[in-house]
Amino acid sequence: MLDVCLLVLLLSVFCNDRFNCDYSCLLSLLNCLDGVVVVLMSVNHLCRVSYERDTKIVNAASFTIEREDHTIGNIVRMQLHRDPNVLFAGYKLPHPLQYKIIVRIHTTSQSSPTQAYTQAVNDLDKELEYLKQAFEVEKNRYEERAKQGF
Amino acid sequence: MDRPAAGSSYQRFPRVRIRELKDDYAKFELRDTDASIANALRRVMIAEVPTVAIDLVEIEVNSSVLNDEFIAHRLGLIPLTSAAAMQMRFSRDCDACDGDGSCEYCSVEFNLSARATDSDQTLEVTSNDLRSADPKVCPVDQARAYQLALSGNDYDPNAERGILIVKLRRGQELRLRAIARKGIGKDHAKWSPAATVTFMYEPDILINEELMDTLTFDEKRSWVESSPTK
Repeated sequence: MLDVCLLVLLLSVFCNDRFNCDYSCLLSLLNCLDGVVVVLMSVNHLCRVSYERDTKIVNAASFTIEREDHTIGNIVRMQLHRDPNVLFAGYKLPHPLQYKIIVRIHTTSQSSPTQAYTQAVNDLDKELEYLKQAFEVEKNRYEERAKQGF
Repeated sequence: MDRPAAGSSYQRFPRVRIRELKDDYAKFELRDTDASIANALRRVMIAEVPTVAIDLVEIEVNSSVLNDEFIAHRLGLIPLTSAAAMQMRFSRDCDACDGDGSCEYCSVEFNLSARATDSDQTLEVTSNDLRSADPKVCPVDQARAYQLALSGNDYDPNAERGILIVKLRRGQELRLRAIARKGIGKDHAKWSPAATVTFMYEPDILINEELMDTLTFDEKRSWVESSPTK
């Protein structure tokens, strides 16, 4: 059991060197063994996002985000739609058992998929940080009002 | 077509207004953002907020009518106070132990020992019989009973009967050790902190006052009655 885990660990480190690797074959081979998936997941966090340019269209690319689903995919897609330089933005969950999403972006020549993606993620990060603070302020305000008997 | 230069920010500044806030219920308005953010919040609340739940059960003695895995499953579903969950480690990320409950960073140990003595009364084993090694993590109804007892008002020990795990007949015994771990609802619904989380668009209703003035009182009354959410 232990040496199987070590083998998988080594394999996944090796795979991490070359982005866009597919663990599904490995997983299906070894998912009968307890703990293997856990080992894979904790090692895998070294590369959460990988990037692949489209070979046929300029300013188009796919981003593969490991260990994310519709929660992230949809907000990233909607944020990209707010950018007028983004001509196309979509995401897909390739398979329900594969825990990853693929975000495809096509931009104008003024921008690039990497730039649009980075901007969208930064904007979302700031928006959610703002939302968190706004919620805390509102919670304090509500509790203060409740104390005064409103 | 004229487009702004790349690199400009499209950040939004959402507004929040709480309508209702109770211990186990909240309702709030979210403005100046879109449904994808509301849906992401909903999904995270259901499946990605960490809580603590019993995950590993070692049964020493079980002569009850329920089999070991049935009891283990029931123990897993007992809601535990999870305020400490954010400070805990996931047992898979914990390097201080191998997740067997010997480590204070990623696990909390519970013990349960119950034996029906020689009387004709059936013994009800409930979540109140669980003894936690860490006072911060215990079944939620135990915590509530404790809070009520502290505040001193309307504490009724009979009302707080706990969550039934198994009933024991005369001579039957249940003795076990359970390990509670941090987890998320995505792995198993027992770690989901929310019962339901929903969101909906709220219509912004503008009343045509001019037209309203032409109605009789009864017509106005029936107009109000026609609201599906009144």
